[in-house]
Amino acid sequence: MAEEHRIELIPREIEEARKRAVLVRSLRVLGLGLLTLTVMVTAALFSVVQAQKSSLRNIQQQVAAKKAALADLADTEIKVAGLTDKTKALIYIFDNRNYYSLLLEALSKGTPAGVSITDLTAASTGEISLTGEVLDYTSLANFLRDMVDPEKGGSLFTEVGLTSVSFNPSTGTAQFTAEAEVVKNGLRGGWESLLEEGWESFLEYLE
Amino acid sequence: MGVPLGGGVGILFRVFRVMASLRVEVGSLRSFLNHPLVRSYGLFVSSIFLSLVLLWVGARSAWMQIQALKLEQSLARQTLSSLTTKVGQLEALTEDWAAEELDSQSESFDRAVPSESSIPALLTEIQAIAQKCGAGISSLQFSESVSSEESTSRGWEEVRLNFTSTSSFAVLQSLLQTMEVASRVIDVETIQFSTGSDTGTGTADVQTTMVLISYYTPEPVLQPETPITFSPSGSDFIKASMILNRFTPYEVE
Repeated sequence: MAEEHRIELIPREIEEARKRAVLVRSLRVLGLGLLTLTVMVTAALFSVVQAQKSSLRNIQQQVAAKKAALADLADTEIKVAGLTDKTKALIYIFDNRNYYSLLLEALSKGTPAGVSITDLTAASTGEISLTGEVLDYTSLANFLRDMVDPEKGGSLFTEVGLTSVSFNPSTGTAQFTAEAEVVKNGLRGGWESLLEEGWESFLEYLE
Repeated sequence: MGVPLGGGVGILFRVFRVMASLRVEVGSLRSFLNHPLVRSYGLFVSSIFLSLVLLWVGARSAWMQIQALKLEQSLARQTLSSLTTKVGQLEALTEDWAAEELDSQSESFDRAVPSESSIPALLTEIQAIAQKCGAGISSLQFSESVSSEESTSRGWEEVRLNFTSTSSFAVLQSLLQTMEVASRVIDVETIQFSTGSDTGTGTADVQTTMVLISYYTPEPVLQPETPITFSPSGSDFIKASMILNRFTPYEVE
């Protein structure tokens, strides 16, 4: 088999120098290209910063204009904010207030002849303490029973307990002390009674 | 600024000494730049180095500025949006609702729950109610104005009064009923009464002691970005307004 001999006419050093020159040129182009690209990117980013600053200034001007408009409406805003707070307060108060006139009305209606209530203590917890006088024990028993009997009009109390009873021979009457528990929310008037004739129109409004 | 003159000379001296020790003198800079490696790859290496410096110092800081500005813009837009909504709502309110109606409702609500404790006015109203019902006030004392974290967070505060009166049972009933519909909201917290031992007829003297509570909402603090939640067609407002229409102001005759 014949051997092929290649004759290199260009010296190896020159060939390597040429290759290196190409490599160096390529690297220079690459380096300068990268630098140019970096400069462009940085410049672009700074121009975006300027645009963002300008946009922010524009929004801040609009905010200032709206604040000025709001200042012109300050009187209305104060009234509206006041109405908001007071509405919230009133709804809570009317939802939670106890109408003690209902308690007095129930006691007034439910106390039979022969029984008189001399002392009463009532707190918002719904616990009532009663002290009174009766002519006889039967009247007292009937009174206490009727207080919790819905059929006898006793719908305001859940339970009534006699704490003490003592007979006073000088007056011929018996003094008693009792504790009563008001039905949950029993002293709350309810919106219907608060609005009375306005309730129907209110319901119509809601519909 | 910072480095004193003596210190600065010392640093320079040290730099020169280091340069001398490295044999990198000013004169040899030219030979360094003429070095074949530097001539071949210097431009590439310095371009890469400058690019990195530019990226770190310029682009990075610009990017961070953009992020900060975007955040600031977002907040400003939110503020603008809430302000626009609020101004729109207030303008709509003033258009839909006559100024007189707003004034009248504000007055009515302010009478029920004033913006200050207004204790003298409260005492006067209770006195007028007792006078109207025929109850004799034995004592009427301002007890305390309750202002706590709870009351501040819920938006209204309480004023407590100790009230003692003498009347008949019927008058007491009337007194309570009248208080319940008085234009200034007055609640009874506790009630205690005692009558003479020969009563039962409802005409005997009843000694009554009550703890009364009245309320006030402190003046609202206006915050530009706080939204308006009030609506004149809201069911709560209508409800409260209808109730207050039934309430009566009392003044001492």
